Formats: sequence, C-alpha cells, structure tokens
Amino acid sequence: MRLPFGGSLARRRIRRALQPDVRARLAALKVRARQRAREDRHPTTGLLSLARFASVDLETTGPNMHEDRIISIGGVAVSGRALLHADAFEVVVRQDRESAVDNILIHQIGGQEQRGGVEPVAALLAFLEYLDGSIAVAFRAEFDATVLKRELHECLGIRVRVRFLDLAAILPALYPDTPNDTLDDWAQHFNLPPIGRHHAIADAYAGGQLLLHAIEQAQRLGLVTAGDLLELQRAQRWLGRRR
Amino acid sequence: MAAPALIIESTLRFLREHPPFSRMARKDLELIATHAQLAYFPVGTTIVDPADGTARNLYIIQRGHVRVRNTAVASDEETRGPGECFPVAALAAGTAGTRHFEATEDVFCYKLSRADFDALRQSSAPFAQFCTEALAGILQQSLGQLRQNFSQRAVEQRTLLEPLKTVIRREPVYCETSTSIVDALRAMQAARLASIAVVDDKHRPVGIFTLTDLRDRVVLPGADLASPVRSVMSGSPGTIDELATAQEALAMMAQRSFHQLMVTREGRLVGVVSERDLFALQRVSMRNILQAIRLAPSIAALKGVTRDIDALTDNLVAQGAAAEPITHTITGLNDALTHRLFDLVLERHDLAGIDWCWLAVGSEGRREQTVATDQDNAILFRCEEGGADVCRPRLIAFARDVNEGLAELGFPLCTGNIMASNPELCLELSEWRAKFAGWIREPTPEALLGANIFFDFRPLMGDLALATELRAWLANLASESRLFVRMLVANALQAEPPLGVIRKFRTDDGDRPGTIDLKSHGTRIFVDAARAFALALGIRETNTSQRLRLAGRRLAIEERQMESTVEAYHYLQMLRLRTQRGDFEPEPEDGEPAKEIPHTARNRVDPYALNELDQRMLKESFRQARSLQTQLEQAFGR
Repeated sequence: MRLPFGGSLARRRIRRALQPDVRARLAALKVRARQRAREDRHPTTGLLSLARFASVDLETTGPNMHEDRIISIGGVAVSGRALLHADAFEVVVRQDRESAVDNILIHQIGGQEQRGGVEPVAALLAFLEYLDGSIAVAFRAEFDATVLKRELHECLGIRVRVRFLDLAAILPALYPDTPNDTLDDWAQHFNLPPIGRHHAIADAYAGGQLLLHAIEQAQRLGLVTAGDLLELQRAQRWLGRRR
Repeated sequence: MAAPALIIESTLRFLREHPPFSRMARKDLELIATHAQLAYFPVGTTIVDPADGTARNLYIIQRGHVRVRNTAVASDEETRGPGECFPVAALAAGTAGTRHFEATEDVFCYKLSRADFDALRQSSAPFAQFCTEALAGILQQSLGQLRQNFSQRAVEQRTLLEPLKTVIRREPVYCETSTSIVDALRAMQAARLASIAVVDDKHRPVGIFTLTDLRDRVVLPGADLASPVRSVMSGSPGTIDELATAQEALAMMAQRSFHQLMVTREGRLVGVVSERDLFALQRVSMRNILQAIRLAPSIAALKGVTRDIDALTDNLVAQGAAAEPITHTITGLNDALTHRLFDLVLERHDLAGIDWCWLAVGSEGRREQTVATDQDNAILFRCEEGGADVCRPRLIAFARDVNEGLAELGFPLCTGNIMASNPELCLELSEWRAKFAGWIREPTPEALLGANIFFDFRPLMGDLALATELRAWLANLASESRLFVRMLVANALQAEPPLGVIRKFRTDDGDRPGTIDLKSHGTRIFVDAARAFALALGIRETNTSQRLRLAGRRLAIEERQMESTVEAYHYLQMLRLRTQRGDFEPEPEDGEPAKEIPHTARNRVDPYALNELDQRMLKESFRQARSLQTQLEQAFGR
C-alpha cells in the first residue's frame, strides 16, 4: 500500500539515517555554495577569466531523466583560460542491477565495473565536494540537472541547489547565426580533437573546451563575471520560450 | 584527485607523437599529463613576451600555430605548430626569453609550471638533453635521431628485403650440359668468372661448374677436356626464385652452405647471385672500389667503377651515414677515378717541360660533390717567359681528352664551359693572378660569379705547389680588399632562407609549385657565407664545413654554435642526396618503370611531404642559415 506523503516520509527516514559526518559535510557544502555564488557575481573574484567552472557530464542507465540512474560522473575544472588536468573528477557509481545491455554498449562501462563502482551516497558526496559550489557546465544541462537533483533527493534525502550552465543554450546566444545543434556540431565548429565520446570524462573534456571558446566570446561581447553568463542563459531561456 | 585515466591516456597519445616526448619514459609523460593545463589562446593573443620577465611556464602546442618574433632582430620570425614547445631555452636558463610568442589562430597548449619543468629535467634524461640542446640549437640531436631512424628503415627495406631481381645486375653466364669442358672454361675466362651455370634444354639450371670442380674432377683425375661439362659439374645447385628477397637468399646460402644461387623465373635461369653480391649490397666497400680503379686498364673499365661508386653512395645514404663522410667519400673516389684517368690519358700526351696543375673548382674544389654534379675544372701552369702560347695548345689537347674521358665516365660536360679545355681557363700563373686581381678590384656581378666558382679551386694533379702559391697570394689579396669583401658578403646575404611567416616554409610558385630548391635556397647560403668568411679572414681552406669551423675559431664564435651550423648544412646536403636518390618520389606502380627524375627537379623537395621530424629539421636548418647570415653581416657587413 502506498501512503500519502510516503515519499517524503521515506526521505525523512533517509535523512535521519545519514551519518553525522555526512551531515556535517553537507552543511559545509551548503555554506560553500552560497559563498561561491556570491563570488561568481563579484566583479573581481567572479571575473570570467578567474572564476572556477566545472565542466561535467553524467552517464545514466537510460535516456529517461525521471527514472534512469547515474552510472558515472566526469568533471574537469576550467579556470584562468585553461582546463586543469589536476582538478578533474571521475567516479563510477555502483549499481544494484546492471544497466540494459545497449547502454553498456554506448557507455562502454561493463557490468563488472558498475558493480565494482563507488557506493551512491559516497559518489554523490564526492562529486558535490568536487564541484565545491562552482557552476556546473554541461551540454543540454537540463538532463544532467534533473538526474542529479533526483538522485540527490533519493539517496541523501535532501534538495541541493546546483547551478548549471547549459552550453546548448549559451553557445547559440554567443554565436548567433550558426546552424550548430548537437555537441558534435559544436565540436566540429571549433575543430576539437576527439578524445573518445560517450564517456563522462571525455564529454566533460570536450565541453570544457567549448566553454573556453564561450568565455572568450562572452568577454568580447562585454560580459564580465561568471554570474553574467548565468544571466545570459536566463535571458536566452526566456527568449527561447517566446520564440 | 588525480586526473582521470582517459585524460592522461589521450594526453600521452598526443605527446608520444612528438619529440622529445616520444623518447621519454611513461612516468615522466604521466607527470606532464597529470599536471598540465590545456590552455586556450584566442587568435592574436600574446602567449609569452620577454617583458613578462623570467619565463614561468612551458607551453606545448596542442593545436594551432604560434608566431615567434625576436624583439631584437626584426627579420628573425618564424611559425611553430603542434608538438613544438616553448620557451625551452629561456626556462632552462632561468631567464626572460628574447622572443615574443603570439597565437596566429585559435591555439590550445598544454601548459606546465616552472616547477614541473624543473622536475622533468631532473627525472628525465631525454628531456634534460632536449633542454641542453635547445640552448645550443636542437639540430644535432635531431640529426642523430634521423640517422638512427633512417638507417633502420632504409637498410632493412632497401637492401635485405629487396627482391633478388633488383639485385642481380648482369645476364647469367651459362653453358649447356652438352658443352665441352674447354668451351665452358673459355666462357668463364671471357667473363672473368670462377664459376659457370649449367642449364638443360629448357634453360633450367641443373648444375654449376667451378674452378674447384676443375681441380678436383678434371685436372687431377686427368679427365678429357673435350668431354661434356655435365660429367664434371656439381649437380642440383641451389635455386631460388627472383622474387625471393636477398635476406631469404642469404638464409638459404647459410643453411645449405652454397656460395652461389641460381636465380630463376618460372624455373628458367635469369641470373646468378653470389654471397659476395649480397654482402656488397650492404656495403660496397670503398677499398674494393679503390682497387678496381687502380687496376682499371682502360676508360671503359673505369666506367664500370662509376656504377659501383653510385651503389656505394646509395648504400651509405641508406645506412644513414652523415653527409660529410658521404660527400668526402664521393669526392675521394672521384679524385681517384680522375687520377687514374690522368694516367691513362697521359700515356698519349707529352707534357714534359711544363709545370702544370689540374684544378678542380666549384663543388669538386670544395670536396662536396653529390651524385648529380657535372665537371668543373681548370689548368694552372708555369713556363719560361713567352712560352705560354707554346705550352697552352699542348695542355688544351690533354685537357680535352681528360674532359671527354670524364664525360664518358658519367660526369657531364659543363654547360657553362667551365672546363680545362677552354683556352680561357687554361692559364699561366701570372694570367690567373691578373684575372683574380681584376675580379677583386672591380667586384661586378660577373666578377663575383667567377669568384664564387674559381676561388674554390683545389689542386688535383700535377705540380701542387703551383696551386699553393696561387692560394697564398689570393688569400692575402682578397682579405685586404675591403670593397671586395663587402660585395662578397652582400652577395652571400642575397639568398633568403625559405622560412614562412604564416606557414612553416615559403615554397616556390614556379614550374614546380609547392617545392623548395634545396640548393639555391639552402646549401648555397652556407657555401656562399663560408666562402665570404674564408676570403675575408684569409683562410685557405675550400671545404665549407672546414671554412666555417676555422672562421668560428677565428671570430671566437662558440664552438657548439658553429657545429650546429655545420650540421644544418650537412642535413641539407643529406636531404639533397636523398632527393637525388628518389627517396621522396612515389613508388612506381607495378610494371611501370621507375621514373627518371628530371635534372632540374633533383634538388627540389616538397617540404610538407616530408615527415614531421624532417620538417622540423629542415626548418631548424633554415633557421641556422639565417643566423649564419646574421653573423656574417655582423662581422663584415659594415
């Protein structure tokens, strides 16, 4: 039988069951995220050429963002006009069930590796701490944002606000009159060398390079801070709805 | 968290394609991959500027091109592309660089901190070496690498893996089974061979008859010389198809202890290959050739030797010998050939009572002959007063014979008539002096052209002291004439190394677009500069490398620097040798005969068709040419 508010009760149970040190980490992250959001809008610390972004990508068990689970997460930090190899992130999340075979084929993470992955709570926490409140950048970020939000909700029982910047929204705004649509289109447009697609870290690396181009173009158009880029995205979404 | 494996692997994959990283250990490359940043520089951005102070980062270009300008010397400008790194010398020396690096398009670079750079130098020997060499010019190291590379590839591919049909050079000497022993021996004698192949009526090899067989089966048992060779030959000889490789042939000889193999096409005899032929493939020995030259009884016999010289050169190039020994070897052998020719020709001429000296001029005078050189020579003589007009015709007749003999030996007659048989070039000592003095006094363009050819004279035969006397006189006169030196320097600065501003190289648009003339835009710059140095400093040497080394010592230029210049010159010479050898021509299709490379194309190469290492070395060589010109200008330009 399914009780009303059953979901919220379950989440409360999950929250209560969290280890004290996990709770402490989550609290610290919340503070850090607020601080970072302020910094990103500040005209000195938030300068486009100084602010830290994390280009991320999530691979999931399927294309349904409301049901499918995270298989792996990849991230590369972008700061000071460069991708920082030393500030990169990768995690494979342990699955109770192996994902459908065709998904294994796409992401090339075998059942073995999935079962051997990191336990979901630890993986998500590690990822949040890697983000450290920075703006997460992805292509078609709505998908990543939704999946992440849902998984955090389900595993940690909390709502965490992660700021996402969608390359698919800002690139057309920065480079109007280009017919590019998919990540591959943009990669080709900027002549990115492939490092292997459909792998979280590879897509994050490609996204990071697109972001470098985007940042440069944004500066040329007079944008100053990382916060401005988020504003641009908001405006673009608004325009997109009217169009 | 350390960088994810995929990022490291893709970075490693990139690094491994480019020297010096290609030679570095995995753990050192991993240090780069984990610590690097992939930095982005939009078109027009300054990446490194001398004004920034001490160099702080190492940049390895991942994609895009970077323009490098020397802030002190306006003309010093070049472009760098993927795989190249900067500013290595400044980082290694711990100073601010002298050059300005700017992105000419969107550029991505792997960027390393100074601390990582220092750590790499500490832990990686190849990288440390790379840095040291960057300080002195990277050329020598690259050359070593080229030699290693090239010799491995070339020796294996060109010689041992070559099919036998390209190895056998002459028609087989053979007889039928029914031929008498005495006729077989006569055929062997005519061909100067120690063995003869025996074939059946279908031309299949069935035996071999050797001098050993003659001793053991004919002479000692007292066999009848009229009996058929079949009765005394060694049966079932080793046979091998013409498409088998030289290596397979060698293996077969070793296994079954044969000294010769019958080479067949569809079972029929097409040639005989001996162990010696195959060893010669790997090394036509210089000693053998010299001996052959010394023993050659006629010009016709000498002709065969020139083919061996070509083969030797070919092998030396293939084995990756340095250009200097190769050109010296060619010149040395050609000298020996010419000496023997003199002997043969002198038998027909009486030059008694004349002091004469045969001069090699031009490239032969500099001891830098490559394969495709025509003859350049002259005669210097001395006789009693008023006797010149008597002596000259005798010398010219002699010279004509020598010139024609040389032509027969494969040194084409000089189209510009720079030959000893030209009466204007068969001169008495005082006449040469007058001619030279005229050029020095009035250095018109024609005079400089003459000086460029004749001031590189070298005595080859006859009274060598005559040439020494002329050389000493010339060295004094030339170095004291400031106008002449200045014109000579200006002339040497005329040719510009074909370094591009946008692309790496500036290629020609003429009848062979997209190519560079390695002679007129490459080696000539070194040769002309070396000559200017030599004449200005009174150096008597004619060889370009020697001239440069001596000049470097005289002007207190750092020895490493001059050695790099010399290496650059040799690299270009080597590239010419390889071009002449057809290394860069596409393989002919099956059945299509190999195309003869036209004479004018022999010094031309499409730089972008070269592999990346060669492109870099070519660029570095041109860079050295430019710096040599700068040095010349600084020393004597004013």
